[in-house]
Amino acid sequence: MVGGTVSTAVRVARADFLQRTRSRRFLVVLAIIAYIGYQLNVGTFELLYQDTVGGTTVDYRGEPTAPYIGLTTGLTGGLFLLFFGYYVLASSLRRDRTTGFDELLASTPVSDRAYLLGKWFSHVGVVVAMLTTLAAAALVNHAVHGVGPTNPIWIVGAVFLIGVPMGCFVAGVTLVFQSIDWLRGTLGNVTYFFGAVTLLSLVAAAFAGDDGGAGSISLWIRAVDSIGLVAAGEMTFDALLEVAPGYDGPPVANYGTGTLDGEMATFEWNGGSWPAWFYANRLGFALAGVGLALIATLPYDRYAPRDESAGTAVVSRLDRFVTSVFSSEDTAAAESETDEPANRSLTPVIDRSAGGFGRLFVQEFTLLARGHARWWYVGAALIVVVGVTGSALPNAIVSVAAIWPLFVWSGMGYRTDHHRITPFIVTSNQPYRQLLAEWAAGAVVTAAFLGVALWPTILNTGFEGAVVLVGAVLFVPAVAQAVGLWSRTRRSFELGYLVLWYAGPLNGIAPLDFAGATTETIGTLIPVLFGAVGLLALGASLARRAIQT
Amino acid sequence: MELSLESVGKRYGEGLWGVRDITLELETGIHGLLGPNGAGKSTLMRIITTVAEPTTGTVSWNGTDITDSPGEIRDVLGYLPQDFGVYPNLTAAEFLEYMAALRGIDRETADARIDELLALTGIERVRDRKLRTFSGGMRQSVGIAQALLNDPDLLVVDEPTVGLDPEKRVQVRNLLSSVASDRVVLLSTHIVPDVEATAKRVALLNDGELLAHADPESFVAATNGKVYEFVAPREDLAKLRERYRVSSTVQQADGVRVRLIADERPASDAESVTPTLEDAYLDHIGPREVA
Repeated sequence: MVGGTVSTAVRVARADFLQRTRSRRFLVVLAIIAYIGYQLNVGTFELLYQDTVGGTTVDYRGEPTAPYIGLTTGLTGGLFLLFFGYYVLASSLRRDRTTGFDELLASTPVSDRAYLLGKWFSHVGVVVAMLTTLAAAALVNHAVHGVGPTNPIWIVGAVFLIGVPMGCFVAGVTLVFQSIDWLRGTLGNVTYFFGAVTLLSLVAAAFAGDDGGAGSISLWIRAVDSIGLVAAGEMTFDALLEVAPGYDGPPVANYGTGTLDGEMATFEWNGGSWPAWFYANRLGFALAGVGLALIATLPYDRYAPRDESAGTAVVSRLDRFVTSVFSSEDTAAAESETDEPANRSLTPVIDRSAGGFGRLFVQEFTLLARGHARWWYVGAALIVVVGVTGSALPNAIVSVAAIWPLFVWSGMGYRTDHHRITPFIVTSNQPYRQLLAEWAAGAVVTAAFLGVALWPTILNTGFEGAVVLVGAVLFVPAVAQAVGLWSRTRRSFELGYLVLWYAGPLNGIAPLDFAGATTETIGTLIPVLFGAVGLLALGASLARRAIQT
Repeated sequence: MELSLESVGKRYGEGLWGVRDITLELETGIHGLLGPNGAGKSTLMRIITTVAEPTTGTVSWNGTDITDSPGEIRDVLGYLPQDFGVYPNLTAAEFLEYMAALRGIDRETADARIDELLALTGIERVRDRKLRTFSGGMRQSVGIAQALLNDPDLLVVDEPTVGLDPEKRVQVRNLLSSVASDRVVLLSTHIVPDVEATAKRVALLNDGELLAHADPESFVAATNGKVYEFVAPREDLAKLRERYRVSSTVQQADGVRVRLIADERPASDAESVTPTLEDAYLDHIGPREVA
């Protein structure tokens, strides 16, 4: 029985893996990963211990020895999988639904358990392909740019020890999310992003102000050390103390690009044993992944009705039930008698160039605004009420207003392709006007949400505050549309936008704050630059349409 | 009104041609486009509708090259692709209104035509239901309605009767016939009787090449004297299928009534019968069986 399940799962995995890896998109993902492998070796991403000495921030980073590069590459792989793995892997179950394969699947005797395990194996296969690319890139680049001998065991071992369990875990989470109706779409993408941030923040938060040394790390922090930051700290901390005996910062290295205006010092780490607890930690993440794949069989519905609006399943079913009770029509009966052509003359069309932009705009706006879950409309109404009354802190309401319409924006550009409307549009006489109408509808949505959030700022700052709003209105819908048109998926924009929104409007990094959540951008070139990027994106959309036509 | 194709070819890769060297003149009336799967019918339709550009040759509408001036044909084009989508959250009427806006029809005319076309295609009563609740046949009716929305001079329909029940199929055929008198209609289908019932001319494609373009009578005439019917023992059926192009079989108490195409009389009791377009199609395409 178990053998049969595994055998079926392996065959499901093989087919799924081949389907995914034989695509140009996957090659692009591998190319990005290979580039990251290069950047790790030239020092763009670092493990950094940070300390403040005499009021100056000092970053301590390791010499690019093979063990150090292996460790940083492994951490990068883990981080990549934690934040981006879901978005790479999620297409698998979604594809079953968008291609109609789910209907065939539903008619087969394969069990949900065997099928989802197969999908999980396929996810892990994709993860291994990505990690192999990363490790190979790190190996080659270390041979060129690194210090000391290129030890493949250290580099490849670290990448796989950190990355594979993380990939197993993310694969399981992906299956759970994609099996739950209301987590399948944009809401799931947003929820996952915050989940990943939370998981990573647990380790960072535990070390805030902790200077007790690596030995003070509690068991639960080690248990949730998802990408190996604590383990890396334990292994490299002694090497750091050799060059900085008075080091007074956190015992776990930060991970990033370091401070731009601080001092930089280096330490040399030539490898060591991985902590024993870390193997248990990795095994735990891998097993959690399998467990999540099995849990996913509970909500998994192998043939879901074609309902485009995630999150409305219960309400939709209720709608259908009420409709069926109170309507005397069934589908077959609903098709009325057909008029014989001879019995009816058609109104002649005299003018085929009468389609005004306004009508297209109304149609596109309807498409953007319709089909969301009811809780989304309630949230939107609350934002309007809170924004108009000015009863919330400006940065808080702007941050919320800048994320809520993500559900609207992420359909732009992508919708026509997803619903196979593109042939109708490119054979019509207004292919470009449709694009502009869609952008204008997106701009109105942006202006509405950010307008109600920014009006106090605009009142206080006048023209300069209005420039912030105009920059955002130009930027967001144009980028959403361009990314949707070129990538033919909504996830690319959702992921990119979430990262930008998290760094800019939410965390107040001024150069990335396109929405004006901080007052720092007012009167600067930043809103103008975002507006310019928006215009470029609009140009990219028009270029895409030119190719399509 | 005239659509002209001159040496049109579409290459997808090294040595892989979707269609090759197609020359056709299409005037008003229905032109049936026949051919087996992969013959290049959909590729040819995509070129004519400006969705794809030809690699070689030119397509002209009333003398204007549509590759250079795609707007010339888009203004007058009605198009039903084989595999088309709809916006599932719109109702049938809303979707047609959206298409009317795309096709540049003023609101008043659009409203009138939407009402008329919903009635003509038999989905008037579900006009306010969201498209995601539609059956395949109802969805196909919406596709046909949108193709006729702008009163097109050139109507290109790819497999318009797929998914329709027999009654609806006849209605669609009648609809196409009724609108074809003053426009060019290109009808691509696997269903030969649909072409037989409606087409003024038949174009036959195979392996991307045009085998014939003729009126149905002369197309069928080439198969005269080659179609036979007789009752054969059931155990002989497999052998007959190996040797001849069998176009149909009917189970009877005394065996199987077989209809086939052969250069010579296949059995002493075989009776020569009048060929249909389907027989002629099989005769041209080669040894393929129609179930």
